[in-house]
Amino acid sequence: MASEWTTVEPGFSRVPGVDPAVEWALGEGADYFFPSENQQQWVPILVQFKEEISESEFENGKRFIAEGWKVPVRVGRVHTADSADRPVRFTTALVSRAYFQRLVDLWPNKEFQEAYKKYIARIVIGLPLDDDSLPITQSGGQKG
Amino acid sequence: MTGTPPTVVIGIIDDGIAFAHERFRIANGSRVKYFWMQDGVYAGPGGNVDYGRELSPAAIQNLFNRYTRNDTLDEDGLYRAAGLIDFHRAGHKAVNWRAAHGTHVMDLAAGYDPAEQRADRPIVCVQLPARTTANTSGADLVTYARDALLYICDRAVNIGQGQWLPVVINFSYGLIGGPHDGTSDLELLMEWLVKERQQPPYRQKVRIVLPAGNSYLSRCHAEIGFPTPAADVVELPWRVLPDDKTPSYVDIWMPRRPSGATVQKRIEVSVVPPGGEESPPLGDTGQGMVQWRPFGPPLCTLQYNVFPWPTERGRFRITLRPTANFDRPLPIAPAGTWIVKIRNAGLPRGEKIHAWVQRDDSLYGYPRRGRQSFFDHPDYKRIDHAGRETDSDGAGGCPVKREGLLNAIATGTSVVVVGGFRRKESTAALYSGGGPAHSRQGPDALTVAEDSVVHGGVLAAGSRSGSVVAMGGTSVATPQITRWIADRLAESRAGDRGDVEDRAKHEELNRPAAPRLPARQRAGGGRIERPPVVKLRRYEGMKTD
Repeated sequence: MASEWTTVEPGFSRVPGVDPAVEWALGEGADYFFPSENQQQWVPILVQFKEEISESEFENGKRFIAEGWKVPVRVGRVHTADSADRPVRFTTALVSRAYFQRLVDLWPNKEFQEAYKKYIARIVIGLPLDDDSLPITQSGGQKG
Repeated sequence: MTGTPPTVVIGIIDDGIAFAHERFRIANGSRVKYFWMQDGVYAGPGGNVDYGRELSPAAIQNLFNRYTRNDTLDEDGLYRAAGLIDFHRAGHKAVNWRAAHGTHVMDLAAGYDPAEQRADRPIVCVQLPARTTANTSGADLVTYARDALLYICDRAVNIGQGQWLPVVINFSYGLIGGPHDGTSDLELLMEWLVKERQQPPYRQKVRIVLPAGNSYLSRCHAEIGFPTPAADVVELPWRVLPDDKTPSYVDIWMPRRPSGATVQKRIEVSVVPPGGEESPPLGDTGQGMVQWRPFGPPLCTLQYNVFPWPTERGRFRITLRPTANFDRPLPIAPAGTWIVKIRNAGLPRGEKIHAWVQRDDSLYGYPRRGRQSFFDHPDYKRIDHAGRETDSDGAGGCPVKREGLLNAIATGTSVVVVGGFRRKESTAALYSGGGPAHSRQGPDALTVAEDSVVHGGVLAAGSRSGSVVAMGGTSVATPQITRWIADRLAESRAGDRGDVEDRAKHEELNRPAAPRLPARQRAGGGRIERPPVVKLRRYEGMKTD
């Protein structure tokens, strides 16, 4: 008789520092994770850097393989006093579900691995918000 | 005068904040200077926040002007206009309940009679998304907490008109699962923030005050060691309740490996579902994942991962689907007793493994979704011979412990952590969490969480002006210390952990010998008794000033 248990290869969490909870949240648990059928696209993340870098550098992918990192990352603006150019240890951003798959796809690239390991300590997901609280439309456009 | 010492900004991160309550007002306006509803309707690209809705000082004043008639504020109208109450939108509307956690907490931290004109205590508050609050596991809280903490610190400079005013932030949230060594994401963030703000260009005093948590009796922690090197197995019965509409999790954290040590297997973990087949064992030598799929879709996942930064500690996580679901036709996991088996495969003697069940209860006022699962070990003594619930682990060898159930986001070294005691009896509230954690012994002090065994909770503001409600827990103890710290910062004192602990020790000197203070890992420096904010004598002999 076949076993009830199956061994599964790690997916998103094979990239070091990516929160293992992503496997469940964007996989089998997505039905519980996203707030409604209206919003199945955008996920907030917290990124912890090993070295301080500016939010704009992170957003623009300047310290990474530029083209590789340019999966839509939208760094939030909650400050008025700080410049986006001031180095920080933590930032939050809004990413699409495709972001994590892109990290997995890029991971075999040694240059990417080096840049990633140098700067990124952790990437953690937050609970998604409903559509009307977000600044962007489901297709990624800015709300007017 | 605002913007000049001794102004201290009080930050509140919570849910259900009735910001127009009279306790937060001064003549003609509000002491709440900024209010960010993180799950409010996005107002458009011209605002200062990137999601949700912010109310600026001008917006708040406009609302006050618009909804004040004959010197009376129409609070319901104001909240509807602000978007705080909007029944067109789904989700919990905490402020529409008689008692709201954030309002009660904010009154204890920063509420004053409007006649006192306390313009020197401006308030910046952030209402976390209701979904984040309802999801008591807290696993998805960190992004919003980061934004809230920075928002409060940065708005303080606006209030100070360019001066980095001191800030004390009350964050009355408690979690169970985590590494408990000060290295969870949120803990590292708070450590960084407190230290970063001390440096130029800020030179801003930031204090963050957290509760010790209410989980001391929850049976959600197990400590496992193997006194002999021979292979042993420890079985943890994990009781998962029926009608739990949220996923359940157990985390098993491995001790750090010595640096440079070769990676050898120390333990293996397997899971036995109720009436199901035991999983293949998963070791702690590399990433791995197994899933229980008795009918196709996975109902349970066991995975092992190493957290490479900063500790390289490994963690097993067991994830279960909900045991009930009436909303959508999704598979469910069976309720009952799941067995978590931990086999010794070479764990050095003296090393301990810690397992925590993640928090999964339902908060007051919220629809009941989560039901707290727990370790149901036969050796755990929940009650004494008289049938009373006991808060002692005793000397037995039960792996399920009360110890080690300090709030999982409160094990960092820079934050102030507050437990709870009963004012009348002077005994610790049974539920008040304690250490030890790897990075700290326990809370820094206890303060009043219950007026007495009979008079549960402490009194503070209800959701509308004039109303008073009782709420209990370390959540309501914490803001009383927040208020005290604000006063200390205004006096140019440190208002930090050491200051709180010194105050507690000082008060202990003047207390009678009995009842004795609980151990340091539960009570910190001792009991601090602050006068109640509502001057109502709830029992004979209660001091109100």
